[in-house]
Amino acid sequence: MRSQSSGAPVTLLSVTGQSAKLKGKFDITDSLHVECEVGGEMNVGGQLVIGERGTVNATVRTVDAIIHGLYEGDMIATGTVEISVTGKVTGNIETDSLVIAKGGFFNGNVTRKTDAAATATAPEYVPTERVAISF
Amino acid sequence: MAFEMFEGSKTTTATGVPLLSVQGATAKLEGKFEISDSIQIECEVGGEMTVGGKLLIGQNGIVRADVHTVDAVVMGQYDGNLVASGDVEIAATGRVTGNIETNSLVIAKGGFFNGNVVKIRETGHSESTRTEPAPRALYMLDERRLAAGR
Repeated sequence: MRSQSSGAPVTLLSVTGQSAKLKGKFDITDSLHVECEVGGEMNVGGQLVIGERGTVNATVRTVDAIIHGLYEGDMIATGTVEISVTGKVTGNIETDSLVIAKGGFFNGNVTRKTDAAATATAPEYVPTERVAISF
Repeated sequence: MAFEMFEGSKTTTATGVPLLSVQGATAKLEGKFEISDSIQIECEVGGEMTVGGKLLIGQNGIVRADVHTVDAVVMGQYDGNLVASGDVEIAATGRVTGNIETNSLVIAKGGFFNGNVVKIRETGHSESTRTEPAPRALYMLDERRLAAGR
C-alpha cells in the first residue's frame, strides 16, 4: 500500500508517546528499535537496536545487536554485538564478535559461538570468560 | 483517510523517534503491552493491551487481544474484547469479531463486525443519574426545533 512500493522498509509496528511497557514473546523477521521497556523473549532475524531510553530485560536470539541503553538477560547473536558508550549490559552473551565502546558497561560472560559448538564434543573445555568492564 | 492522518502526526511528534518500531516482512508479538499513547500495528499481535491513546490496526494488522484503549481504528483484523472510552471505528477493510464496549462506534460501509456492542456504564452511579442528561438534551433539541419553527 505504501512503503512496500518505494523500497523502504515496512514499519510493521510503531509505538509512539511518553512511555510503553511490553512483555511477552516477540518473533520478528527483520529489525527492531526499542526506546521503551521490553521484557520476555525475543527472536530477531535482523538487527536489534536498544536506544538510549530503551530498557530490555529479555532472552534474545538475534543476528546483530546494538545497545545504547540498558540490557539485562541472555543473548545469542550470530552476527555482531555492539555496546555503545551509553550502553549498559548485564548478563551472558554468546557471539563471535563483541565490541564494547569506551564508556560502555558490561558485566557477565561472553561465549564464542564457535567455541560453544566445540564444547558439545569436548565438555572439559570451558570457553567462558568472566568480565566486568567499566571505563 | 484516518491512516494518512496518523502517519502525518507520527512524523511530527516532538520526540521524533517512536518508542518501539518493528520493521521487516513479518512479526509476531504476544504478551502484555502497556502503552501510554499510541500504537500502529501492521503485524500479528496477541495477548493483552492497554493503550492510553489510539490503537490503529492497519490493513495488514492482525490483533487477537483484549484491549483497553481510548480510541481505536480497525483497518485490519481484530478478534477479542475491546473496551474503548473514546471512539471505535471499523473501516471498510476492517474485520472485527468479538465484543466492543464503547459509547461511540462507527462501522464504515464494507466493514465487518460480528459480536456485541455494549455502552460503557458509569460505575458507582445509580440508574437515575445516568438517564438524567438524556431527557435534558431532548428538551433542548425540542426547544431549538420550536424556535426554528417559529
